[in-house]
Amino acid sequence: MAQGVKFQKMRRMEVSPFQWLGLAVISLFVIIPLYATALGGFKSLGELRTKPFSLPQSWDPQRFIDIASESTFFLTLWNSLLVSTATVLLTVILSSMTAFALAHIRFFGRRLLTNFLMLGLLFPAATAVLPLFLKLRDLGLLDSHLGIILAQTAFSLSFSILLFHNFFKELPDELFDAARMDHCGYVQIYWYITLPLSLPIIATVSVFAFVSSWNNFLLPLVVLNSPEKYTWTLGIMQYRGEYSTDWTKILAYLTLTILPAIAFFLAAQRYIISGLTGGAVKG
Amino acid sequence: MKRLVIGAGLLALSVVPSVSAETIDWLHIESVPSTVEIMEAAAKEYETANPDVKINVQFLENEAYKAKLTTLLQSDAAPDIFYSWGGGVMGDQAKAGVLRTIGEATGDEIRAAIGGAGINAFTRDDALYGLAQNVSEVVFWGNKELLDKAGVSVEDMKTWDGLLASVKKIKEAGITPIAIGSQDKWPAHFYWSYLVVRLAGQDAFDAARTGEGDGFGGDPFVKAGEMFLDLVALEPFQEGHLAADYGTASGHFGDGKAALHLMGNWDYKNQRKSSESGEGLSDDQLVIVPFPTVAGGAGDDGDTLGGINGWIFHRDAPDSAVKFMEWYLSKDVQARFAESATYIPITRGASDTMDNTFFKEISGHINDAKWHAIFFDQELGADVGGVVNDISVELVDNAISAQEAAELVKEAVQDSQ
Amino acid sequence: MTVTPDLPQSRIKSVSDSDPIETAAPQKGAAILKQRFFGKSSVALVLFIPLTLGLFTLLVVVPMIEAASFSFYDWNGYGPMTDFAGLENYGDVLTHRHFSKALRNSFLVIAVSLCVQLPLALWAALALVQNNWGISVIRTLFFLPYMLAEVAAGLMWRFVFDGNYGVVPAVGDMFGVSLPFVLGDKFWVMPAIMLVIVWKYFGFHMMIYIAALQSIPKDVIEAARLDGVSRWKIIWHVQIPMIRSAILITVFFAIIGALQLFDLIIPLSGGGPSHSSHTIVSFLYQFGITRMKLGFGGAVSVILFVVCVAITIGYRHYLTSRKWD
Repeated sequence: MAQGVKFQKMRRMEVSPFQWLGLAVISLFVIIPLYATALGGFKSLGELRTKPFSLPQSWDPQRFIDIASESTFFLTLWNSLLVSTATVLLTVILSSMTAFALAHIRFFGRRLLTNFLMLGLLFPAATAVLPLFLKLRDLGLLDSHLGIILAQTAFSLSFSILLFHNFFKELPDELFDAARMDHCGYVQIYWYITLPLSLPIIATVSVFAFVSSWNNFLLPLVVLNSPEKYTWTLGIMQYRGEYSTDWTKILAYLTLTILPAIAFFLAAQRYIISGLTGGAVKG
Repeated sequence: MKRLVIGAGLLALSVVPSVSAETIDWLHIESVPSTVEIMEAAAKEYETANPDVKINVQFLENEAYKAKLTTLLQSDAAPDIFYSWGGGVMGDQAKAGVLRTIGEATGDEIRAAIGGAGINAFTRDDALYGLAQNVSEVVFWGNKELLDKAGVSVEDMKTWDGLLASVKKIKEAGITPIAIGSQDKWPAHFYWSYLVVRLAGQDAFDAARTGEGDGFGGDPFVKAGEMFLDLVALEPFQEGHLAADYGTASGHFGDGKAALHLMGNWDYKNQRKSSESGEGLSDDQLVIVPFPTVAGGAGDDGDTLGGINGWIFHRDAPDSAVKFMEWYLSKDVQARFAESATYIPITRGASDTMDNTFFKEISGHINDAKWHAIFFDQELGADVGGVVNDISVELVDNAISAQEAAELVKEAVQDSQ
Repeated sequence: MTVTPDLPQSRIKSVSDSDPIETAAPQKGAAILKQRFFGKSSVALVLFIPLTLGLFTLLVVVPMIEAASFSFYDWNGYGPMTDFAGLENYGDVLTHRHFSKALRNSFLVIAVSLCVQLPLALWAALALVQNNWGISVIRTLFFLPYMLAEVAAGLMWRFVFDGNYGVVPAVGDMFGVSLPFVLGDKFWVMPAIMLVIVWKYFGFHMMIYIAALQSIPKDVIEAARLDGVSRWKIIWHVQIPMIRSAILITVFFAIIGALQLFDLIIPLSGGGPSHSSHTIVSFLYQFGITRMKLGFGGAVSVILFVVCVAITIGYRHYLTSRKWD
């Protein structure tokens, strides 16, 4: 197919002026609070309270430098990265496998199992924290990253399986017919056909799992005891006091710590957007 | 931690068989760097003087600490010494058997130094569970300039009626009379609690909390709500106070935008930090207005409301942990905190060297008080205390009657028994 | 009961029959598949199911059952649970003076999620499904609120809503009206919170739609366009029908998510003023967990669970009945 022709056609589908206007309005709505956060790190507490939306009186990046030069800052970021990445990998592997089995293999108790795995969405997690803690304690997983990774993965399974299941069911028949011709087993179909075609949904699930793990506070709080194992959400504690909170430092801290999450999203977005390759579907 | 202990033990065994270091985990919630420095220096000093003890200083932020404590105390990683507000929460912990009693491990000297009120605050069913460290009191912080402008003196606000009249005058002068952070709830509960302290007094309060007679449904408790509503009816608070937290209210007061702020002594420093300029009100601009008295109330006019905070011990804590705390709470060490105006130490004599006039005044109030009532939301435990906070903020919002408010506290006491 | 909303098959037929009950005669393709691969399926099942099932049971289901069992006791979280209370906690929850308000608020959040958030997300997804530099930036921007920790989001919006210095009173001034301190106002506090909810979570649904839109083979749209079909018609008759299952799943997520929402409420309004802005779970958190009444908290959890299950079954029934039309 001639690239040029396709490109021209695609251009016609581009955003209309009306859409641009709408996007601009939504952007404004989205940006205003974010803007206050990003600038908050440059302000004093009083200035933040009385002029949250004006430009800061000085652009002194001292707070950002202070935070970044804190010896524990990069350590907590690294820990968070470790925990979140492991959670994402484990979540994607486990939930895609299970969702594949639920969507494509007929076996006794499949319906029941599907329903069972959805239970995680229907019960408030906040109540389950204490029993979960006791479980982890009995398993000897306290004060370890593995404990958090396993618990976070377990809690993201329901949601991820549902998304994968939904996507897998929609994959076209023809692909599987072709695989059957080649005498592929389910494991091969999963690995060679389903997964490569599922990049958008894998990337989407990864982003969701990453974000919820990255921002998780309660689980690391109850599980971790050693400061050298803390994730960034626990690092924020040093700026909060019993009666006062250093909000400007916290805003600077939040601005810095959201950057890795954005980087992860940008990396994942490439796969979400690339979508199904035209060839594979026609195959 | 345990591995560290074993590791250190093994190391010691292999080198000098007779010495083995014991590690004491000490969990605090102090976030002000200068204060933490003093604490850590003290721990180092103790380690040097006692080579067989290692102090492991740990920190958790206030909210995180509260969220984590229940689970933490049920794990191997529970600290030996941890921060406590005393009151009902400590009572629950004691009842559940997660605390160590320290009666047999403490000497007379430290008991005398801490004094009766401090010992009482950490005693449950005749067993001592902890050692008190500092006291605080809730007062009206006043902005002298604004009070002068409205023609109101500290004397005028000596009684509740005087306060109401003064609030009217301040309002007429175009000044916001009182700053309050209602959204946090606990700032509002100071009003109801203090009025209860004045109207009911210690005996009626102690009877009510055990559900005797009418409990919290009794007359003085209803009256406290009514008198609070009298104040609320004057609309004395800054605009939007229901959406303001403590920090906002403190900053509002520090900016000179309200004449009064009912708050603990910690606000002395906080109103500066939260103010727009970062300077807040200077010593010259500040004045302390003790909570007004109520004519005919059963409480003593000198009774105070505040906190007594200290340290309690996990059930597995060794004797050396208690010994360390005895040393830490001695006059010499505590005087360091008094000098830096961090808090008011409870240890006798430790606050003598304090040169901050406001803290001295407050310290005087507490010493003279027949009853230093502990914040109700702590004294009555998380559950009943939470209800006191609820009804207080609903009174501020004029969303509930005094009768209903008192009944709700009474019911909460019944439920928790 | 099935918890998965049974998603109707779209243009593309699914490989397996997605629901054995709904189809009287199993699809032919599936039958063949079953026959052909039955021998090999056991390998896949052993490989694909047990790990997930074990982890999920151990760390999600068992703790949940335990939490549910709290509801029959008076327990503060310390020591052994011995004080059996029967159904007392359930009575306490149902007669609690703030419970019905919390329930009502949760349903308000569902309504705004369905009526405002999802259409907005879909609209944004349709506009942003293309791939170029500028659009990629906007897409990232729209997803930023979702990436931000709840505490941060709550804090920022407090600034926006602040009656003295925030954006809301400034906007009010522009139109010559005096806007109240919205978070301190019993009427305005829920609309304000719902605004933040839309802000925070529409990007989440948008990404699901974008992922689904990306999966539509490009030649389908291409062909329609070559036939001169208008843009709106492509959206209505091609794109939306083809992501129908994604839409149905986001509806499910929006409902369940709204019912489980709480971590935005605490930093924004703390449930106030006078407890007028609690959702079910923030109610649970405030009156159960922070007050160390775990039995009460367990009872709220079980009640919420029952509500969620009922809604899920209802939703599924609705979808199935529609399909038979």
